[in-house]
Amino acid sequence: MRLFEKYGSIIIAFSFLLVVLGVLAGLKLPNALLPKIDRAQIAVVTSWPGKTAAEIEQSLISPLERQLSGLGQLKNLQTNIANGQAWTTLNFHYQADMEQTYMEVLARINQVPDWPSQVAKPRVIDYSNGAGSTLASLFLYSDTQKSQADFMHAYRAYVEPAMTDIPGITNINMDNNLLAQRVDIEFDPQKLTQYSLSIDQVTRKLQGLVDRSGDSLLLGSKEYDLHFKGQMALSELSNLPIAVTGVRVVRLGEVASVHKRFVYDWSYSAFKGNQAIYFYLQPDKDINVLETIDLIKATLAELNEGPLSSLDLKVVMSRDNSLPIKQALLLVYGNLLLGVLLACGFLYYFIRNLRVVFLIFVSIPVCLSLVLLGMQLGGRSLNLISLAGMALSVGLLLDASIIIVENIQRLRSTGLSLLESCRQGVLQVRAALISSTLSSIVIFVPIVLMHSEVSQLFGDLAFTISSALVASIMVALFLLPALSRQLLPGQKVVKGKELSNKWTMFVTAPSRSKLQGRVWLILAIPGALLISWWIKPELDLLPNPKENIVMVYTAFDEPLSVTAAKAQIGDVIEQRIAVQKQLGDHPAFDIHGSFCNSTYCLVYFYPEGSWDFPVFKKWVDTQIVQDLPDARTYVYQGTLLRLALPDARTSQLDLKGLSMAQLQQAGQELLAHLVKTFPEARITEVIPMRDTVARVEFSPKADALAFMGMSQAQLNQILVTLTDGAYLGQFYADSDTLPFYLKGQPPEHLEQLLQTEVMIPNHGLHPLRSLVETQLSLAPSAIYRTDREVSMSINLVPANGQPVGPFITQVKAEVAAYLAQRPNQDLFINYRGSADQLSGFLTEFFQMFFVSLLILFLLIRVALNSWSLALAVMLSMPLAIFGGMLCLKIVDYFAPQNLDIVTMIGFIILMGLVINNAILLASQYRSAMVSGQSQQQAIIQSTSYRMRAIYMSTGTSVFGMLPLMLSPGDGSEIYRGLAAVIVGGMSFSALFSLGFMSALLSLSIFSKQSQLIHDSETENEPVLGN
Amino acid sequence: MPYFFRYFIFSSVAIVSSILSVQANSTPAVRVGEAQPWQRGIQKPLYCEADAPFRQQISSHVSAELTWLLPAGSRVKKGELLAKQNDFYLKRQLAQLDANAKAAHANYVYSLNEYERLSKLDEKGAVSSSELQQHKRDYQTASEQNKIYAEQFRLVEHQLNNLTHRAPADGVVLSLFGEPGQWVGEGESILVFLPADQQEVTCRVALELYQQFNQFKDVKLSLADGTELFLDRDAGLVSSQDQTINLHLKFKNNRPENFFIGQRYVVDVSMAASNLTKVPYDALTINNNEYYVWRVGQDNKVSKVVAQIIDTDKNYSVIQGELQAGDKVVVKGKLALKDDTEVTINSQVKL
Repeated sequence: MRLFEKYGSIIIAFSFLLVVLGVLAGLKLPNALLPKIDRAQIAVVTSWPGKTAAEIEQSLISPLERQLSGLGQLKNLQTNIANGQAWTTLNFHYQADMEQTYMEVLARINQVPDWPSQVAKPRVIDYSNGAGSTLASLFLYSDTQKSQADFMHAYRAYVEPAMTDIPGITNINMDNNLLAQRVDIEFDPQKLTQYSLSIDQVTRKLQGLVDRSGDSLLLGSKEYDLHFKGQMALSELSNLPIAVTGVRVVRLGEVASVHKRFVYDWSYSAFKGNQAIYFYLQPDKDINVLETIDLIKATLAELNEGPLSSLDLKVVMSRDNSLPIKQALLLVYGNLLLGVLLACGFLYYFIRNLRVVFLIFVSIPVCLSLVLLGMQLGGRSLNLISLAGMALSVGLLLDASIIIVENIQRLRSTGLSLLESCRQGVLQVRAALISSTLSSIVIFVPIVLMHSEVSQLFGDLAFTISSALVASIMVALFLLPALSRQLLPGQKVVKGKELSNKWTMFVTAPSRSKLQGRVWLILAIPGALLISWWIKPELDLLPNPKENIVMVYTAFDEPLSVTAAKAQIGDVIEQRIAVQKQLGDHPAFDIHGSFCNSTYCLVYFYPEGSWDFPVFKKWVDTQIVQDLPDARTYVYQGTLLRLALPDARTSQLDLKGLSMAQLQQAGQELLAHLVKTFPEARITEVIPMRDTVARVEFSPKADALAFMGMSQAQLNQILVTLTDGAYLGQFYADSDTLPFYLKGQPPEHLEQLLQTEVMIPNHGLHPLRSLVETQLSLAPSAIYRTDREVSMSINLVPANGQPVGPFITQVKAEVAAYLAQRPNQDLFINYRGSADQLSGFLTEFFQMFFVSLLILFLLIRVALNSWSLALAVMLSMPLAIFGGMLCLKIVDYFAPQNLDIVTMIGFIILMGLVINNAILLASQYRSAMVSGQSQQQAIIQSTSYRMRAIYMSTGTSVFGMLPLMLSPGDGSEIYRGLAAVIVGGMSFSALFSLGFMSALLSLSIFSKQSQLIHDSETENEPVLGN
Repeated sequence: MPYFFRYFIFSSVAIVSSILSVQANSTPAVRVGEAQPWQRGIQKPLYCEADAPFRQQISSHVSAELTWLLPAGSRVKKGELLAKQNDFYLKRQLAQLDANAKAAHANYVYSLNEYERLSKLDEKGAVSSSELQQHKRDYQTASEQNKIYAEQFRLVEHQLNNLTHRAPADGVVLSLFGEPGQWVGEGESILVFLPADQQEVTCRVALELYQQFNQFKDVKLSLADGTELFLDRDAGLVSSQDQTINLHLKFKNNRPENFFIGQRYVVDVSMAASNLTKVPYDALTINNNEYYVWRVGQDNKVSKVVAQIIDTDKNYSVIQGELQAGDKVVVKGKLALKDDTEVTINSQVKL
């Protein structure tokens, strides 16, 4: 412990270096809104354009799910099959080794039997790898009319290369405007019949248009490779002979035209009312988001001034996502700074000595620098949680410094030299400091060990606070004595704010009156617990911080074609917005964009300046989306957490076990009941619970086919060829390998298709009508499967402001009551999503809470060497819990505050912090008893000795965290509850635990402390105060 | 697809609104279209080709060399020369016959005179009866011989006349069986001629359709250009393979220009039917194999009209049901409707 004497200057210089390094590390650390949350989830996307949900289910999804269902650690799987595409979501247990699982998924996909050759293997999205996050979303738009090809060429030639050049971008997602193309050889069925050609004949001629090679031939001294040409340029294809009639060669060009087209219909996208294509950038792991966004912005500026300007195109970010992140982070930085100032101000009130306050203050930059360095080493990011953790720890890390500096000052005031004071000052409190800090750190162990997905949020919190506490010990033990020697010589010991004996007597009064003592005990233990339970805010999964965005979601009653959706909804909305802009009578907004696909349109606005959501909503409801045909609209405000945890408020209710039609019926009834019961909540179908997709059913005339010697498969092949096209193979054309299809010219209407004559071998020409019957019918637009069973699911999102927990509890009760009236043994109900996550988290939370209590209890037992005193310390907790709950309630009065999981973690942290006060008191009490004082004297002495320390450390902690609780800005909802719990709990504990402890310690059970303890007591001196 | 909207798409691919949450407004707003008249009745296409019941064979009357003939595909008017055969041999034969006939005639005249002279002598009893009978036989034989030669002459003359083949009617030379210089035997074909007035349209029709259209009684048959036809006859035989029947249609008036045998034609057959109107596709509601439309009455109340789809068009479907041209039918906002629901008609989306 002579280190600070020998190497004092070195320690100071080293600390300064640490601060510099810490600042540098801080500048280098990636900035993000929230810590990286690994989702143990993999999505498998299967696309088969032009095919119905039913066919995709039968041909692809059913065998795929069979293969995937055997994956290890698989929790559940769902597939949402729509026409043309299916999403299979695999949820794994948190413990799963996702890297290995990902490989296994890939392997199993390759083992799916009978996968059609023209269907690409499914795309696998590994969310555990951060694939689900978005760095920036962009529009490529033009205010003049452009073709899809213009957009594609500009994107491929300029935008894509520029974006992929930016480091930190792993993928550009173009799901809205997929650029995949196919080659259609589009024949006129009439022309085919004119030459009496069957479709099969033509198909055969068009297969295998590839170059082949065959070894080599030795000619002279050279080996000549043999190359057999088969490949044809698209322009040459029209000359390909496909039949000969008499002496006449029929060439492809005579019956068909060849052209490229996009495989997928593009969704409609518009930016500020201009035609656009939309895409978004997916980030690499662990990048500095803000820095990368700056790079993207610079690239966009270059593109817009350079090549795109000549094409009359522009590429813009749909919105700068870095802005809300920056604002939220700035707010925390501000809170942190303010917290430091407030804590130091409070210290000055007590100490009244600027040098001493400075001495204590020094520990803040040094500790935070150490935390930053630790974050750098631990690969963490600066985000709302880690910054809030740092802000929370500001008050805590001062404790150790205060204790050391105060002790040194106290010793100096007794006449000891500065050197000796420093030496003694550190020695006297070293053990106590280390053990109390350890108890605060140990409390984080269960938090870190939590397994649920959302508990990853607390990793940074645990890391920053515990590392700050460790750093504070190091600083207090090494740097402060060294610095004291430099800063304090010659300084007169100034007595700070003293607490009067009257106050001591006042707070210990309960120990002297039995009645008062009983009242205190009843109020502080069962009373506090009961009231806490009573005033507890509603349970919620996550806080719901709002963001500056208004979403307008228009769902269609029946699926529309993209063209119709654009014409009937998208264009109408844009025109109305344009009219409103001309009139100038609208809430201020800068940017708006819209998207339409076959089932919904989504419009978003970024309001400007100060704005009011209800006013904006009313404007949208009355001026923009009123009377839209066959559609319903939801207007709601975006939440900041959507960027990190997209579905934190959505739960799903699955109905299973019945046939599709029965499920639809049961689902509709239950949905209607829930919508009626919870009118404010957003309760919707995951997939429509009725048949909404119009289709033409072609039923083969089996007898007619039999007489003509045709099979149903042959007829289907003819029908597919005439409509979607028969797959010919992947051929190389125009520098790319593309799928080739032979397809009929699109008929204008059904009758025309039915009138199409086809050549049937040996039977001549027959119109399709003679082979098939047709009927218009309705089919499900999508099929939803959970755990390999067809199901109907309902999305449950609580009303704005209503927490998830009670909502789900109400829904569950309502559903149970509803189903009890309609017993159906085959119908099964299952809940997923945030409902599942919340209940999972709660179970885990309570387990961890009790583990934390147990650990604390044992630690205290070790520290105090007394079971009864340890129990007494533990019993002081209900008071702190009550303080936390009360503070939450007060906060809730001003701004909605639920008991979300971040807030719950606040209670665990609170336990670790408030326990210190009780430990200080109890240990002093025990020392006093050991020294032979009476129980009453011991209580008064311990209170008077520890009171100032408790008030000071609590005061600095509370003032350090106060800005986090009071700050009203964007994103503060995330940590407000946590800060409120700690501020309330610590304040309450500081104010009342002295009274409570004195009442408790006055009980006769604690009068035997001196007899129980035989060990010699070394520490009988108060740490703080006189 | 915007990431920040993806939780819609991934977790709830389509939060398509439920019927149930569209609370039955007392006067739901609807958009309407108008039922339009459809005059063409129930109409179906027939796939036919131009044909002729038979083709005219032009054959040689005699074995003779072909000296000239029209190429195949020649269109000719009635009486125009089609082919010509060498007449030398027939002419010589005719001259020979002529000489023989003359000789026979001379013989006849002599025999007749001799018989008449002897007959007179017989009256006087100067000639024996047998001699008279012999002369009678001579003259009768000569007479018959005369007739034989005359017949032979006429025959050869006919053959000679038929060495030039002329078009029996307006038509076209379809194909040739010989070439100039070639000897064509008696009765052998020289060419096939297709008279224009014989052309007709033959359609292979599914028996089902034939019966559906009441065996084509009271139907209207026309080509795409409006040329009208009528059913001349049916084949009287149904193909056992594909259950089709051949129908032979003739033109009511003039056949179209450039009518080629073998050319395919689509003949529209239409049958008068009542209650046909055309309505926009969006007006149709499909429900369990039944189609219906919502008609908006004068009192703005809707009623369900069950319909049958008869035909389709690019933008309309032709339906048969209790609907009049001009009736208003709901095209948007159908989900909330029930019989006798009063509705508000929104003519256009207001901007």
